[in-house]
Amino acid sequence: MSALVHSSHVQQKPESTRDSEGHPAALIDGCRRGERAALAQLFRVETPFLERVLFRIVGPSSDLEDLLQVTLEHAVRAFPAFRGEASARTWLTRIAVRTALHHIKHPAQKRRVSLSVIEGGRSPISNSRPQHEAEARSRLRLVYEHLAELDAKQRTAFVLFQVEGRPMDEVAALMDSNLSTTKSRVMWARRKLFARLGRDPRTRGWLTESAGEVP
Amino acid sequence: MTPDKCSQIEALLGREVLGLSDAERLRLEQHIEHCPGCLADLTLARLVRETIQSASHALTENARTRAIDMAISGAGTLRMPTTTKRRTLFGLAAAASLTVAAAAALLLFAREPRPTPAARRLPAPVATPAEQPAHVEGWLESTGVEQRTFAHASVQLSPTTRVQFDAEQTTLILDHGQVSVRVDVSKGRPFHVRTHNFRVEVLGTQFTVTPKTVQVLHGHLQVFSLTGELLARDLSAGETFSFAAPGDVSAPDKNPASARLWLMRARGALSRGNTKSARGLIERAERAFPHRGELAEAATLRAEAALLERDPKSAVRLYLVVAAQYADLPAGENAAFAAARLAARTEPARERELLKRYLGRYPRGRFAAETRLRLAELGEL
Repeated sequence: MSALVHSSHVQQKPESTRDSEGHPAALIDGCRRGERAALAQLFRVETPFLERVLFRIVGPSSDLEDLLQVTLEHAVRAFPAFRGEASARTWLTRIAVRTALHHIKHPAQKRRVSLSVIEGGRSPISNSRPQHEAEARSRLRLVYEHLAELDAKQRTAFVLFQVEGRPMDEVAALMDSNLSTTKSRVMWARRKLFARLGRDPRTRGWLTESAGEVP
Repeated sequence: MTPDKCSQIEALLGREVLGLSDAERLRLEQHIEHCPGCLADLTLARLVRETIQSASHALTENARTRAIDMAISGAGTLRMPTTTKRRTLFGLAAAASLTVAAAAALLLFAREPRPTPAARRLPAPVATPAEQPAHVEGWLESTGVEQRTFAHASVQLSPTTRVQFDAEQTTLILDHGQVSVRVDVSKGRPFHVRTHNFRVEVLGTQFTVTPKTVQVLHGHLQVFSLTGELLARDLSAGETFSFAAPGDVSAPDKNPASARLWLMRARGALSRGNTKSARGLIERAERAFPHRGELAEAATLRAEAALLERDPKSAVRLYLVVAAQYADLPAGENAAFAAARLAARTEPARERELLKRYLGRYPRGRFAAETRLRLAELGEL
């Protein structure tokens, strides 16, 4: 049985201060001390955000659960050194970005054929109409097929900026990089990705469909 | 006003995601009216963003809980001291110890034949007093998570755990709470954990003990009753022993999650591209009393391993086996569709047949719409 089932909730001091995501300082202190209940409580709140970042960088992959686990493992080990200068969410996101970056840079991933359509249980597209769902899934596959051809850092910077909508300086901080390098990565990723998508006959249908909607 | 160049508009396109002012939006609109290239870029940027944003990323609640639980359990046993400096020193010391231990093991194995598993379970020679640590007097009760070293074992005490260590017998006595133990195999000496119900004897392994259960994370161990009767002969990684009730301690409880654990590790190995290790882990899962769903997953992982080894023909064959044997399970449906998709690359002539077979078997299946689209593209519908 899961150890978390046995874990009691962390007693929070009423006067405790909170970080920008509303986590009490007592909870963060508990995490620093390696208390299972505190770690579980924080992770329960933060995992949806981490999943989203991992998914958007890596794409539909059966490795998402493993990546989430690796991210959390790194966090548990690094928590004693967490100084609290950034919020816990930002700090965890940074670990997730590094984990995702390592995953897509790993040569084993390049050999791997995307099996996005067969991953267990549920569709990665939330639309309910089957026809629309199939089209959306094929679009998603197409986008990640071209994203996979980009440099890993360019791809990550592009996703964090263009898809997640994070400010450029935050993207730079998440990637342990400077602002000008990050800007350059996003720009080159855009150019390369759009050039590839523009050449792909499968995207012509999209452009035709969307012609009347822009801007 | 001078018309903007495409390079100037590119900066605006980049920032469009964060929102533009009215003036910037006007400049953008004026430019794309006459520039089909920038219009296409803007369209693609929005489509890429919408496509990724509309995709649901959520794991199931079970998967999320499992990831959290595994992360805390896995990383917790390797907890580091509190400062970076200490962590570095600890790492260096650990690396040095490992190197020495590896060298010693190499020398040992070069001279002596490898002991049989039975021989490895025999009690090792008693250590000299000089090697024994100081005796821990009285009971020790933890308030939070605490890391302690008893003889050659590193022990993590969960909060409110009460233990006592008998240095002469190398026995940790657990009154209540939970201990996670990692025994240094290089010492070649047994280490014992005793509860009110049973006694655990190990040579080198990693495991967790509560007063009524033992869960093995690595290696093998034996469990005895307090009167010396053998309760579990060879508990190996992934298995759990549960003490049922006094007088009813006949057999170890084979943990039903153990096959799942091996499969999870196999998936991890595959994600690292290590197909050899993955195959070994899949075999262990198949030996750990898996249920039918886990057998289907094991077979699917074999197909994925073949795919990773750039052997798509074998992968198609293996997927078809899964599809045939587990047609009533989601894994069977997934495999049927995966085989058809892979066949498009390996045996294009067979793709139609496999797509039709999928549609015949799952007319309302999860991939039915996609299959119909593909068949239409192939001129079959």
